[in-house]
Amino acid sequence: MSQRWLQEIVNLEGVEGVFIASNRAKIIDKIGLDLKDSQLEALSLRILRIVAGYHINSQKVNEVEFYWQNLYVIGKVSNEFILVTFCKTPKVLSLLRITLNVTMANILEDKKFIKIIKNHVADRVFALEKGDTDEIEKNLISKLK
Amino acid sequence: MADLNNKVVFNENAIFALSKSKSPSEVTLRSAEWAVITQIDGHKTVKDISDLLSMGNDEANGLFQELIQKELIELQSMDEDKIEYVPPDFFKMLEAELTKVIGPVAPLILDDTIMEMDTTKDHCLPERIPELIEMVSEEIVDSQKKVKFQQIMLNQLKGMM
Repeated sequence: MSQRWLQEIVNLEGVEGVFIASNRAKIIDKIGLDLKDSQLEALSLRILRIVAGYHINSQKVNEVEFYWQNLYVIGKVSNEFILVTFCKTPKVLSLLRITLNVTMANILEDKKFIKIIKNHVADRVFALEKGDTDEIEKNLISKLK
Repeated sequence: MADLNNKVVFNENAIFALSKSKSPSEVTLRSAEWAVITQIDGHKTVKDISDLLSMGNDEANGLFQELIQKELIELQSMDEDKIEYVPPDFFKMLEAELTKVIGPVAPLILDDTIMEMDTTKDHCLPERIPELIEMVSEEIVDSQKKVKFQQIMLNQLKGMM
């Protein structure tokens, strides 16, 4: 059901792909991506850790933008899920940001989809502990508990 | 686009961008050429720039040709007949929608934002509208109202772009 929304994003010029992941970094849906779920999960986890890092400083972050493997990545974060978009060039960035805002709102209004997402939501701190972490990251994650 | 004399053919609606391969600092330029270079931003047409610099058509054409030959600028876009600017009705609709959300200050915010973008309502290209919507959206404090406004504008954009 989320394919329709993801398709609208991927139809924009310069967009290579987009995926939705739960706040436990579990991939829910994706489109236009030639990447393994394990790679996307690692990336999701990285985004969640960045957001959690800001959270420790009492700063609320809804969006993270960075370059990854020559792609421009925009991660939109909500309490229930994250929406990650890969662009070849940030050529239509304004249009993309508006589309992402609207898509996030549409997804959040879809009760069925939110129910699916919530089935994946567990303790977010537990999810952040997965994968490779250095001492600084471990220390930061412990502060979230 | 090039004729037999290797000259690029363009009209007053042509839009140039600075070359990615060569910097103006690598060549010697006359002050008039520098004046043109400083105005090239990928949005202004040849006519906009010649009007700003109070140049005649022939003079502007000559300067642009020289800059092309020096590989400092590249033709970005050109409509053979007429560039399609954003219709005035769109701005009326945008102003009305923004007024519903932020009140009577909306026209002022809109005018200021358009000026900040270095364009005008009469010469605004459709591809700059998302940027305008994003900028005016920043004035909407309520996040739900902001998304609602963007949703309405996105539907309008689909018919325009």
